[in-house]
Amino acid sequence: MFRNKRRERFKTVLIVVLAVSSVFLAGKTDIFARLSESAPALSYFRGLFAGEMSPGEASGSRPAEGSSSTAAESPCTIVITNDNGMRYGAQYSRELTDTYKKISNIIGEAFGSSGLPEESTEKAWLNALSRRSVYMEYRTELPIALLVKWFGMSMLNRNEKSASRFMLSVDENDFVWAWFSGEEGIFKSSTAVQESSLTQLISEFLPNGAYFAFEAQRGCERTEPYALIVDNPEYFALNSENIIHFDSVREQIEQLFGLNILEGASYTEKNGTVVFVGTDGILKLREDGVLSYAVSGKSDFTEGKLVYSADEMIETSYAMISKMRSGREGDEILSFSGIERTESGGYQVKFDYYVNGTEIIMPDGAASVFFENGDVSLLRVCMRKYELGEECSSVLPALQAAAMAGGLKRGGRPCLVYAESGAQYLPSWTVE
Amino acid sequence: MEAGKIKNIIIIILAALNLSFLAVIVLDLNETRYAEIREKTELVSFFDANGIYIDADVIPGEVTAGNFYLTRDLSQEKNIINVLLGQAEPQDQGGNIFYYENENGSAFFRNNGEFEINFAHLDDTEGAQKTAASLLKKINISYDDTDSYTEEHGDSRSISMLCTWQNVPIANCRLTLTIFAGGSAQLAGKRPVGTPQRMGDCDMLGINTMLIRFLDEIKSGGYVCDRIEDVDLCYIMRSFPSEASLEPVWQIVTNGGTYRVSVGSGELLND
Repeated sequence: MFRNKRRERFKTVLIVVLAVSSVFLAGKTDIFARLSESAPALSYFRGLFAGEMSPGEASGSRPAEGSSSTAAESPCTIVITNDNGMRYGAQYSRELTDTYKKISNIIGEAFGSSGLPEESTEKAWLNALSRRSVYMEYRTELPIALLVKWFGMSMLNRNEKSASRFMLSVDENDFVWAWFSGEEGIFKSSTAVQESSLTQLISEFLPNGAYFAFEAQRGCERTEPYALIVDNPEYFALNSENIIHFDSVREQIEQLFGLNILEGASYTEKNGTVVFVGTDGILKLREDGVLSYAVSGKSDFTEGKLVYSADEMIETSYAMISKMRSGREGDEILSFSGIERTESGGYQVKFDYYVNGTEIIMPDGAASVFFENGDVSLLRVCMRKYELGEECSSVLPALQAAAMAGGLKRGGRPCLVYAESGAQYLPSWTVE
Repeated sequence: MEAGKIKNIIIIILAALNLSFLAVIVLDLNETRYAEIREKTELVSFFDANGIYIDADVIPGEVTAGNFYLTRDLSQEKNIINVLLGQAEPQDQGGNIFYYENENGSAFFRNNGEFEINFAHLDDTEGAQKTAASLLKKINISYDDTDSYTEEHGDSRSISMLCTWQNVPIANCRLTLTIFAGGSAQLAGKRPVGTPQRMGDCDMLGINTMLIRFLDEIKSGGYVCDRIEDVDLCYIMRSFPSEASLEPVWQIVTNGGTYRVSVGSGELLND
């Protein structure tokens, strides 16, 4: 009897083992796959047995792509020159963004570790540009300290100089110099960058026939000398749409601004502009997606801290507008385009939208933030997104555009922009 | 019916079920294996028709690779110094370059993983290879011991090793230990800037598609190659100002040089 009991217990255990093993083996075949198509809840079991990664396995919250620097402006032109003086150039293309990512570490390291700047000459600058070098140009003059900060690097010898052109170049002794050129002149500084690191980076870029206008054989004598001549294989049209939708605008505005909008305190003007009156300011939203917010007391945008320096105004404005647009963007990026004094003695910080380094022309720019007495007084943002559409084949080649620019204006520079054309934005050349 | 008999029937049914599932799995595996062999044979013939020899054994099976990101770990750098040189405080040289110095030597670390540690004196009684292995073990850097080589320059000897992550080589992270005649030494190169964090699997082209794309790139680029000697998965570390990534790439060794190919697009990479 005791033996019978043991035998029965063994059979029970064997049944359980065989049952579990058959479920396991069934999971290894396609049976659960077919069943889960008709009963989705079973797909969990299929994943479990197939050894797929469970949702919790991917660890870490990675910084969003593009947040590797907090730069409020990206360069409009990058040129990489190899040992033979041949150049790889990027502008008005996706390659510009990709190249910028690859070079940003070494540029930040160079200017962060740079010694005190010494004045230099145009001749020495051009000589450096013809050697192994990495060159980038911005649309506006930027403080070098701000540029290094955007790269998230420390700066050994802070200098107060600004420039719009920056370059790393290797001299005949294999020493890497940091150069910058702007309205204050041309300067160079020593760096702690290793020549091998810069050379390795340069070797990753194959020359693509790019050259500067001053290197053109003929036709560009009157063109701005540093206009880059390089043809892109393709150009695209842009489609745009509002990112604030009128049917849920109240909720979106409250979410964006944390506004305490007075019940009933909204109305629509004759031109279709919706106006919201809040306790802290008045918000207007136009049909074309332009949003303006006039602060009537203290704004919360600077988090209680008064902002007086240009660097702080640029960074505060950029962070604020980026946050407003976060999760709603298309292919455009926001880029700082200038800071001016207003008639009332305050400052206006301006931004434009760019797609692949190409500016989208708008009457009032993409955004403006007005500062009075250290605080935000008025904010105006175009809440639209832009996405690349079909290819355009009617864009003039870069060399012809450069020659045309010089022909129209001495020192003129060809500039590719997106201009509104019916329902789309199309690329075309203008002269700066 | 007795419980015992019912159990017997259930056991027989379950055993038969297990056997049939096993048979399905084994047949499946065999079919997959034969399909792989067939595909490899066809690929070898295709390459042969295009003037390139490739051994079927060199063609890897389908694999998955992860995407990783890393953030620079300054405490890890300080720990390396503590272990190898002793206590020393970092000095900021600007550009996120940190310098350490004490009576045992000096070192600097850069944002992109490049570093250099100079030892005033290093005990080398075990030989360069064992000394290097011991140093790397102390500072938790894993390396590929099948891809190390030694060199001699005058009175100094050096050994070079490739870093790995989860046993996959990081192709652009190589370290060299150089031991000089007077007993001083230098450990320099590029290392992963922090501990890689997995972000999920990478979208990969099938092996056959990738190799055919590679053939296209070779022909259109005018590269010289008539023999593929090895095809392996490795990582490339890409550094940006505030983060880095480990990007999986295929490394294809040919008699005309070594090429790296994107796992997602099959494009030839220039680095």
